[in-house]
Amino acid sequence: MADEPTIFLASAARVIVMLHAACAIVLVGAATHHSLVALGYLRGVYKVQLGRIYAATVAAAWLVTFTLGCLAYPTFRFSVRALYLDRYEPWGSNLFDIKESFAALGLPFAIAAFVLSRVMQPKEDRALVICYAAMVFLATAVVWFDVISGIFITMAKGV
Amino acid sequence: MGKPHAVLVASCVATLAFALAFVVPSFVAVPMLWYHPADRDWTFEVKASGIAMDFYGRCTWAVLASGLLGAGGYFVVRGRRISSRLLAVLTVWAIAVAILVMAFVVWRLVHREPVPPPIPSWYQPR
Repeated sequence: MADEPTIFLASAARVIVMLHAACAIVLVGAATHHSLVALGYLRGVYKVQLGRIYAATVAAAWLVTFTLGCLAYPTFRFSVRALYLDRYEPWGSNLFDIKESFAALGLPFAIAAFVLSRVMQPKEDRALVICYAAMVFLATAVVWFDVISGIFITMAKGV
Repeated sequence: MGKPHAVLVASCVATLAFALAFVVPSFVAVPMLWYHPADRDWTFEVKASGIAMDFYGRCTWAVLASGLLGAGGYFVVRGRRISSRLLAVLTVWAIAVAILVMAFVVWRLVHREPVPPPIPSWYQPR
């Protein structure tokens, strides 16, 4: 590495990470509200339209947040992780890899909850509601973990 | 109730497939798409050297497996009567496998000691 390499989208990385964080704020809010609506389904309170809106918001925000994270990832991997975190804050490298894996593993649940919210009738199908709520709760837990992890990692070293 | 139940079955199959496909490269030596950020280059190999990322390849592989099996699951069960018990069992499996894979990821990474590359001569810490 005699010369400084040109990393893909490195010049825009800070803007991308800022947008990534803004979308994550939308995501954590929508996911939390979605969980409350799903909890309502379990207790016999059926705010179906609201549930559909939050499910769509969570799926869309998750996809956008994930895509923006993927775009900033090469800069993070080289300039942040390889040149700094791996040497001085290895816990940050490890936590980031856990966070990105959780984000990927939670995405199918967010999409599944969105598709289910469109086709199910919570008042009429109790079995489906329990399955739906379980998926929503898991997705929300993943979102909260990822947001808190992201804040900790960025406090150690940002792009 | 046919369509919502078929959608739930497909969702569970898709999430199961995603989680398993995501973790399979940790156990089996399968060729994977790797991105080398410093070289802006892609390679297709089992284990890349240097600063390389397998996340894109791993996700692509998991999305393909998830999409194919999820769609297949939907067309297989579409129009059939599915018991509530089967729906519950499938959901529990999907969530349990995802949590198990997450636990494996944590276990594998939490005590990892990354090997940093040599600091390049041009590097200016900021």
